[in-house]
Amino acid sequence: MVMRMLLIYIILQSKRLLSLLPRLLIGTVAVVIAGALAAGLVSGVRAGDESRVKTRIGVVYDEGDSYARAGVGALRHFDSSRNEAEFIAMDEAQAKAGLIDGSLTAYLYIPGDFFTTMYSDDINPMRFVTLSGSAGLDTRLLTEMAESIVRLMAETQAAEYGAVEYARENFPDSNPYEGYDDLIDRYFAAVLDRDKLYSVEIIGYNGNLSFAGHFFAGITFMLSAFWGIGLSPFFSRRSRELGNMLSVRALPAPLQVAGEATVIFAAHFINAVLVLALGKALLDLAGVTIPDKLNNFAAVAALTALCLSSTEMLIFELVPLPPASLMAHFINTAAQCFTAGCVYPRSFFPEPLRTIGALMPFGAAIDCYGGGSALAVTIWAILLLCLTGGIRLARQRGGVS
Amino acid sequence: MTAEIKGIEKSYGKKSVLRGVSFSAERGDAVAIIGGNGRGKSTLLKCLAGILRPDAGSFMWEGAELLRSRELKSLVSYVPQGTPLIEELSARDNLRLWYSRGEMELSLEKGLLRDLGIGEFLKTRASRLSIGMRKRLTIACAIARDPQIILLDEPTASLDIAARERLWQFFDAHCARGGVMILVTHELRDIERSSKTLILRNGLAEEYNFSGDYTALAEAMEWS
Repeated sequence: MVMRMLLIYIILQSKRLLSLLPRLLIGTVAVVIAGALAAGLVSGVRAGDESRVKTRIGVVYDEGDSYARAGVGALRHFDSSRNEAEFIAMDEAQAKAGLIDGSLTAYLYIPGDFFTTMYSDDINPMRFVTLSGSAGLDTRLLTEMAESIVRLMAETQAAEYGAVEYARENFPDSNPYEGYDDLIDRYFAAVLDRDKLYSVEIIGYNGNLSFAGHFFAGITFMLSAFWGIGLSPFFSRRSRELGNMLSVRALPAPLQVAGEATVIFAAHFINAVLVLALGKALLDLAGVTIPDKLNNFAAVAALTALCLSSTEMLIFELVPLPPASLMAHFINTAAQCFTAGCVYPRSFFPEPLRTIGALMPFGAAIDCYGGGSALAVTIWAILLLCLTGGIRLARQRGGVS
Repeated sequence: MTAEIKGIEKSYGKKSVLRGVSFSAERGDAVAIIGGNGRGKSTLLKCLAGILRPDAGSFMWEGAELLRSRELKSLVSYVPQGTPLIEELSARDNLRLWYSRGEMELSLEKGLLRDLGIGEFLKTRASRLSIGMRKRLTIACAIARDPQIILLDEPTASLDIAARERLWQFFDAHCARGGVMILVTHELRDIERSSKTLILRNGLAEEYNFSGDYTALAEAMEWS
């Protein structure tokens, strides 16, 4: 009897919610698209660090010059620049055309006599040519990069000279140029190709998420959390008298709460999947990929829904009627999203705030985006729902309004 | 006595609302409870319905204690003052919570739902029903299992004459079948049609014989 009534209660509450849901989901689509467009307009949709398109830099040099060839080889091997930039050999006419049509960010011109004049007073310098005349961050970064490249190539060259000199002094009977190519190869392999000597580990902003992954998680979670405000009619139009009648007949307050929470959970789950899928699609369009661990939409959306539905059940039980309920929801969502690190990563915060943020329900939920344990979210959800059930039971039993 | 209420007490914090309410009713009785606002009439009904836990007292039905018994749910129905309806859903959907599909169809054809005229607005959303229809639908939900005792909190408030008459025809039929009705009311017509009237004051219930003297009634209810 109790289970039948609970089942029908869930079905009827679902029907209630269905009268609200289509409008709210259309709102979600509109907000996500509008948000993505706004972000695209403001930032030019910069790629995240997992998927950033490499900066293409042309290199104009004399391919017959072994020193220049070695220097460019060093550039290509150097791991910090290899991840960020692609160096493409070409002649100067191609490089200029590439700059004009936007396929190149800059080009490096190495004069044919650069290496022979390097240690003279009349050095013929390399030129780093870029189209931008602005004094923006890009230009500054490129200038820094040009200086680094020149220094790198000069140091590479000095290392080669040094090695040849060493061979002449210590092995006078041998031809120092005999093993030159082998020496260069070993230098590249052992010194410049440093990623064979270490692995890169990113201490993430949230679990092991990258910067882009973190913000994708933060923004999608925040959208889902604020979406819950739209569910307020579902809560405010509940009849307290119906609750009283149900508890008299067969459905005690805790089961009523469980039934309503099931429906709200389902609504949040659908919305969270929509937000995540839409967000991913828009990022794909912008050429940004999100980390694999965020691609498990069902698990991430389920935990988001669990956290948000249980929190809303408690808020709307404590403050059932608008506008107070809307204000309470808004303040709670804004405060918890902030401390959870949806806006700024928690690592930016002072230690006490960081600890509080991680312990709160939203903090526990957002950590799951980065592969954190679902246990904390589950415990919080059970706790919040028990509290909600307890409050409703006390209200019905004690007659407190 | 078929129904016997003895020494019901209820306090909210330090405020004692009911201080030992006692009365009895036979099968077929319609008991009206009157009293000034805030005297504990609704609290008394909620205690008898099992919504509130009384601090002390008993509610016996044919010699068996109901207050802490499973029997309470099948024997007693409570019709609240407010609307226990799901506003966004139709009358039929609201009834589904309380009736199985078969029970509903049978009752609509030849049972209590037909007597209440529910078939007239079965597909209408609860939010679009008139006050009288809402009250009838509320009663229909409350009496789903054909209870022996119906507790009603101001059932005829704000109803027009026709709607009130229709409800009373249903109440009379329930009493004629041997059921008991206990209703809280402020309506003189309800008092006139009840078999017994109780006045609630100072946390106690006293039997009151209404003689048609409204001034005396007002004085008795501490209105003046």
